[in-house]
Amino acid sequence: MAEALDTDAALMTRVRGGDRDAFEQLVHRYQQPVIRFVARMLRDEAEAEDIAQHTFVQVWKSAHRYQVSARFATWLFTIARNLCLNEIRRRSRHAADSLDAPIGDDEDLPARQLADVASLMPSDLLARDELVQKVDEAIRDLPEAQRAALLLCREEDVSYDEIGNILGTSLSATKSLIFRARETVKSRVKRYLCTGEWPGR
Amino acid sequence: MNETELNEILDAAWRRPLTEAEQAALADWARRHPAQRAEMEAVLAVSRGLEGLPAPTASSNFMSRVWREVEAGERIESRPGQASASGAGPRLWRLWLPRFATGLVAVAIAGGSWWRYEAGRRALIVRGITAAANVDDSPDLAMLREFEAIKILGEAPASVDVELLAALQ
Repeated sequence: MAEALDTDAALMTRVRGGDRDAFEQLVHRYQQPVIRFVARMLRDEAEAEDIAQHTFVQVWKSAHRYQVSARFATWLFTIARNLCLNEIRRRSRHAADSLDAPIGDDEDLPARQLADVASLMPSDLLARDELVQKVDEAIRDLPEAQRAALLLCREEDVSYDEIGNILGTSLSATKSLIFRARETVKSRVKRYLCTGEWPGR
Repeated sequence: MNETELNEILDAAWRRPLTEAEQAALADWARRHPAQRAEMEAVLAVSRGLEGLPAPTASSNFMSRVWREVEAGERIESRPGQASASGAGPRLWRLWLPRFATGLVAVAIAGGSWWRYEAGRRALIVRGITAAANVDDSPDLAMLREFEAIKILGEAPASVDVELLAALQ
């Protein structure tokens, strides 16, 4: 991975000099993680590609500000997160695009009554899609910073330190954000598994 | 599996899909520690849920779209005149012109009020100076020599005046 880091920095050095090939290599390397992160932050796959596109445009335009001492992925996700925040603020000003609009109709889901929880594991208890939907909903309901921290954790090789840099928080605050996010999601899923009820936020 | 290994697996569950061995270890731990079973199940469920979250893929023309946007931005920056033609200029004017005009009016009103206040104050000063200039000359020096006596008379109680009147009579 250290080699990849060096390569990122080396590529960015070339990008600062206007090297388009180097830029394309970086885009190809990171387009998928960025689109994934944005899509999960915004819960909008259609918008995710546009925001990811803007992210890379910003990288190109701001390449002269990149410091080789900083890890490229940290810088990249910082830009992506800022653009997500802008989009979230824009949507919050337009109620019609509210992120809080429910995606599914929970009332249609039958309440689960599990006869013998002790003898079963989650894969047996829940249909996969349903589980994914619940986890997705629990993540969506997290405060933005907790959501970002949790999602960045899923990105390969992004350390707590780097997540802190991206979010602009100290290491201890970052760990606290991640802990609270995990506890919230876990407790909601746990209650759902035990009772079949999906607790509110 | 000890607790340290358990915590490592629990942390990994949030970061990446667990391997079959890790899942088996977790299930085994849950069997041996029934009190923690619900916790383990929840972590496993979340891990699987996270794994299944939608992961959209970039479209095949993603790179070309990025270049188009980069180039469009560069064209606008290199030809400032284009900003107006493209509509950005007029939009800015429409946005800022009313604000600028409102600000200008506010400044004009404030300036006018200040000017009127200052003019009134100057007129008052001029009147005062004029009045002072028209005052008669100072009294005779002989009168000023009796100033202390006159001052003391002013401070004396009324009974003194009565006594003085009686003496004069």
